[in-house]
Amino acid sequence: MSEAAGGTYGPTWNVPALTPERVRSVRFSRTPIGRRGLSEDEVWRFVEHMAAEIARRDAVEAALIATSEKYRNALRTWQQEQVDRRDSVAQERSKKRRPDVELVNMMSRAQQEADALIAQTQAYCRQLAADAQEQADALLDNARLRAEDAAERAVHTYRASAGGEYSAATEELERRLAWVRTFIASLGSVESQLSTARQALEMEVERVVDIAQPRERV
Amino acid sequence: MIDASRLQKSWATIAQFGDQVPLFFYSTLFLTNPGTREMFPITMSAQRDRLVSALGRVISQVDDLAAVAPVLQQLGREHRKFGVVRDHFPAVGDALLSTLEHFLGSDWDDELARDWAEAFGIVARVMIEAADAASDTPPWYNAVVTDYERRAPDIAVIRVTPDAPVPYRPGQSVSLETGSRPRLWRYFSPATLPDPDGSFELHVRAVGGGMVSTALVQSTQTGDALRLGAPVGEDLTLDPDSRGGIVLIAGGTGLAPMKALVQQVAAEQPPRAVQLYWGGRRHHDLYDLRAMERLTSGQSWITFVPCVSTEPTTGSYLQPGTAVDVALRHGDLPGRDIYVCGSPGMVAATLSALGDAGVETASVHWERLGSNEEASV
Repeated sequence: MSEAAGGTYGPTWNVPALTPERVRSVRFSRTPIGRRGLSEDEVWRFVEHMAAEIARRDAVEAALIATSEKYRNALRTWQQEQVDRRDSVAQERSKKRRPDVELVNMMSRAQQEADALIAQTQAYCRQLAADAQEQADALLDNARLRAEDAAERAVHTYRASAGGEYSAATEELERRLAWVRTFIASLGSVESQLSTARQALEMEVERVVDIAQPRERV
Repeated sequence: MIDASRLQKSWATIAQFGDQVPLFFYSTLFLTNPGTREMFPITMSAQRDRLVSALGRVISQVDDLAAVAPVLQQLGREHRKFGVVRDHFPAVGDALLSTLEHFLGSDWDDELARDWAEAFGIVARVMIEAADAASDTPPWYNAVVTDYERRAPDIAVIRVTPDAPVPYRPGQSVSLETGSRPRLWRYFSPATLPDPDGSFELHVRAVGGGMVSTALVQSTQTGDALRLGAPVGEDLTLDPDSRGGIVLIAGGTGLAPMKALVQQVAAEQPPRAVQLYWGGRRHHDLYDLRAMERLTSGQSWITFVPCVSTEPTTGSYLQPGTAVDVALRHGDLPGRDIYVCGSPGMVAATLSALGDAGVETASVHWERLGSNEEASV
């Protein structure tokens, strides 16, 4: 039947768009000899059927378009939201990456104050150490001078008392003995003093360093 | 392609702000990534100088980064002991760009930002690759003090035993952090070859105001925990292919690497000729005299000459004068390789004395990392 219907339109039948109305208004040419053509009822029934079918499909298409439009809008909105969110995350991150200049400067000032305090304590420690060194040097030099003095005196005494027993070797022995005795005695007298001073100094240095560098891993 | 001249020009502008620049950089880094503050000591002055000089070095050779690659690789390897290197680079890069933008003001544009980001990216990649390439050795060694001996008011000899063999060569240095001074790393040079248990000796002089050396000398006890970094420095190591005689000139605890070198030469077959001049101001500065006498007595290949510069030496075999004075007076220097180690002042004085004397030496070696006492990482 469809073949018959299609065949009768002919190649010249120009269809802009096949709407139900158009289908309904189509007129077929009649066969010239009596009723030997198509059954008119059948043709009209077919036309009616086709119009209904097109109408149904139009409705489906319209519904599909509406749905797809809805989805397209939803997608567009979602994409925009994503872009907005990414922007705001990036802004948030760059805000985090770029802290407020005042905050940075405040942090820098705190650091500089800490640096200055530590430099001061270090200079103080250096001074303490240098002073101690100087005192120790002076004590040693002093002990040596006294020892040399005592050695000279010992030689003097020996020469005065030796008489005929004199020997250069004994004199040298007397000299060295007096030197060492006096040196040790001088050091001994300052040793306790020194060790007390050293302990006090070390405690002081420890204290100062601890201020500079708190032991957070105790 | 990085526009090198533009980068260098912008760095020149930045450099005019002096200490403000690294201050701003570190404050930004610490504010954006508070975790990074933990990696640095309380006082940051030395750290800031280091950052600026390292950056300046890289930027000045940015069109020939192969030239600075060894420096960067060394930095990358050394930073392993501070924790994960890779994870911190983005934060450091962000803080750097933020700092540059702040100081360059209207000179800052997208193009310059891209150039700086690219240059930083290269630096980061070289450092990370070097750190990764070194990952077959541990980033640090845990160690314990197994012996401590105070030899003078300001000098201690400390034996440390690491938990794994530290693969140093005599003359190299290892950085050290004590449990009592966290995050402060200082270089020390092992003074002996490692014992079979991996332990070795360190010689420490308390430097006035020095935070690590004073703690080590004054309050170290057997059993104290330390961390040791990977061995570094090639300035004082022996040329393995050379058999020529060497002259060692040491001041104070600058003896440490020399003692290790002497032990190394002693194991050679036959040992090369060594002259060792070791100087101190006073007798008690020669804190390791007995051990050195044991090490050198009866050995025909070594001449050991201890020297004292400010006390009389009459009646003893010690030579009067500084180590370099005595070496110039008595030594056989021409044509020799000369190794110098001591305080920065001693090294400078020794180099200038050698220069003034016009000795035709093969070459003079000294540690460029800084002194072995209070040099910083």
